Amino acid sequence: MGSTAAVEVQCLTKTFPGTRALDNLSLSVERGEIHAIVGQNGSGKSTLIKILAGYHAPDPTGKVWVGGTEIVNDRAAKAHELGLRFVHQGLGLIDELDVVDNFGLISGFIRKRTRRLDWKRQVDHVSSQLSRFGIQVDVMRPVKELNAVQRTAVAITRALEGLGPGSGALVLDEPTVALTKLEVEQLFTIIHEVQRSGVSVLYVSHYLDEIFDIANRVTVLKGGKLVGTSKIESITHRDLVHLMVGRNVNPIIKSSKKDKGAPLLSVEHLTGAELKGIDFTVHSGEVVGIAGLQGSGIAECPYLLIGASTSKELSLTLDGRVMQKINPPLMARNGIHLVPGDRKSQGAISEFNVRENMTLGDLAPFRRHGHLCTKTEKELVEYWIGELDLVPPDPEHDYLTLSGGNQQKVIVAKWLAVNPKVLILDEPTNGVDVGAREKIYSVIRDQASRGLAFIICSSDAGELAELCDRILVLNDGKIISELIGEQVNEINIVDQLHAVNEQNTH
Amino acid sequence: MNKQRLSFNNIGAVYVWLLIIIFFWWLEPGTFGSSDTLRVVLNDGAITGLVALSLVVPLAAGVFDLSIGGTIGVTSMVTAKLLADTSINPAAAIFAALFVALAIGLVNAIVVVICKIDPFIGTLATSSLLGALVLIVSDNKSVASPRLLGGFARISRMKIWGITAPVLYLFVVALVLWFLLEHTATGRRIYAIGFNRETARLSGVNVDRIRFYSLITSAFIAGIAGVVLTSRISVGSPTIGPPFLLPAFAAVFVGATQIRGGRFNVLGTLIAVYLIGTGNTGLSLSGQPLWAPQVFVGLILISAIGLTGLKRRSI
Repeated sequence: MGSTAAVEVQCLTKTFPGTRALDNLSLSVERGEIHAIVGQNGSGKSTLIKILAGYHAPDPTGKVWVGGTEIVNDRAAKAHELGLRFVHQGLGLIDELDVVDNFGLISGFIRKRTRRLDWKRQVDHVSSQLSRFGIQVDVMRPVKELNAVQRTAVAITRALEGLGPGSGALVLDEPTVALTKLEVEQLFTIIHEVQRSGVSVLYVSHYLDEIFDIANRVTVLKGGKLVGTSKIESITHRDLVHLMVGRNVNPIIKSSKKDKGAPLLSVEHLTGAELKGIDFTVHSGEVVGIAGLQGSGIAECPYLLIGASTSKELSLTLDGRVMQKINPPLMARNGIHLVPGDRKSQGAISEFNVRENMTLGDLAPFRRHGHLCTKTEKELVEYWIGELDLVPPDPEHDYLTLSGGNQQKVIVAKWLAVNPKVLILDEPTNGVDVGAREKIYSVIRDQASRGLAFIICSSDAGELAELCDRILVLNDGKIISELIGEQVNEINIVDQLHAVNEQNTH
Repeated sequence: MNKQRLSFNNIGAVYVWLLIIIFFWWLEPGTFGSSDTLRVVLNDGAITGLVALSLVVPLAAGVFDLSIGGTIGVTSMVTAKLLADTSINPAAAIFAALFVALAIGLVNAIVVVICKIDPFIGTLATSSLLGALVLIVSDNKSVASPRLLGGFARISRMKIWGITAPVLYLFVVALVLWFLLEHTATGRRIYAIGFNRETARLSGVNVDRIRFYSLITSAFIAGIAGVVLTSRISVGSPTIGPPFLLPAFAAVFVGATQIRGGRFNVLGTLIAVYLIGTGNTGLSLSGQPLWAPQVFVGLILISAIGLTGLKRRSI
């Protein structure tokens, strides 16, 4: 059973413990086309790319063809040979090395007959490859001196090394995240040139407006399945959003009138590497969501708020008082805490057990004449183990061997145990199973009804729709919209997240 | 749960220790297998034990202190010189020496925490400075004086049931440190920082303050070791400190593999100190060559880490 497509996958499934990242996916990228893949976080986009790149092996039922040849077993090397090339997120360049060295890392160096590196020919070769795409740079300078689109061009040119004429497929994974609008246009010129030379392109992006500018066809993934493929002329922005979100969305009726508590925390001029100065206020008992995709500033937002990274112009007003300094211990003393997104390295201490992790937020209540009373600790820990239904319900259990969901429960409990005023959560259910997710949501709702305020920073639209009373949507470092009450639903969130942003400048 | 506590993984060193005792008892029943040996081992290991204990708190907090050898040398010199060249009484001399030790700890703390220099590099640098200081003060000559005998010497030579006072000092320091690390909130925070500094920081722990005091603690205990050592040998020696560094680190690392599986801890350190001490005593009593003890320490260190799979945390 052959294949005429540039890249084709058939019945591709990938099961991880507890979840199915890809479910019987079949897709083909035709020769010479630019084929876009869109989908929310968790839709299976990155798993698909990782399987094509050989990082994961698919379940035995799946098949992959590149240029008509089926790939089995030794995927990565074979696929590369057959012409499947990648520019991954982050580009994979080494900033300190120059352009020529970065090329050499992947494609090897041109050598003279004496095995010595032939610098002149290598430099000429790299320079000429780059000028094909209209990029004129000094290839002996370190990559970090290039601008974003030049770096992307280097990564693309490097990836295409050694491709025969009129063959091959290039996978571009979120290539425009760090680019200005002008640079995006330059990149599209390069991509069209790539297409003209006969290379097919698989283009993964969450910027829907760009898809309409660059792609010939688009495929939408949801929950690991393919929910639609279409020629770009035959589909609209709204259609894509609906496909991404799905038809069977439980409409959660949110009352537009919710009695807002007193204003608790006022944030002004929150700026960072990506955030361009945002303002908002959180009220007691309110669950505020901040939605954003990669590049919008969502990743740095919670850390700037807590003072883990410094935001120069940030001004925080808590209970009417302006805070003079912003750093984690000070915020903690004022009742503002962060549940970090990176559970493994920042959320908890792997070498501690459940009890030691859960009480780390505040050890003062357990001190009796200088002595740390383990018995009192256990009482508190057992209370929260019950509230969050931790499995297994053992305070002395290792933290590390708990499932992801239970680990997250421990971290959430740690912060609820200190009676905070405001709890900031960064991607709270990343890698958490459905059961744990529901439990954490119910505890959040319960605590909110008792006056605790939550700020949930997430790229998961469904989660935000379910939890939040109000959602601020970040796009390119600014809040582009606020959804309240009935407006809070997954469709609106996804629509706003992927919206066109006129300002797109850096 | 009980089975796990007696398992090789948990207290393997104790079993190895017993094996060593049995081995040397069989080899040299006359000399090794006598009740004096127990006392000798206990007494000989006391000062090494003190030096090793000085490292437990900073290492638990993830801070390397390489300057303790230098601190021992400086406190030894200060004590000896004060007693030899002035007429102040021994107690005052000891106070002065311990005060200097605290000052050294303060310098280390400033270098590492305030100047934000990596502890490994920072204390390596200060140890070099301390070595220079010792040379300046001593002019590379040992200091001997009758005032280093008598009352001052009694500090380390008092005996109860054949066991010298340093063992008691060791016991007291061990008890205090054990309580601090196992039974106080500060101890919990120390371990938190040592395991995962960023998480500890985000959890509201005052990371800087604890790291600061950990270096003052190590210098202080090293200072105590220096004073006791000077009393024991009744000489202020410029070269006395550095040789303790390796055995102390070895003992603390081996100790970390015991009892508390991966945590630097007091009891494990003591077991390791005496395991190595017993081996050394056995080796010297059976007339093994001079290089044998160092081979022994090296092998113990490798096998302890290798067998228990202790992960090397980043320095």
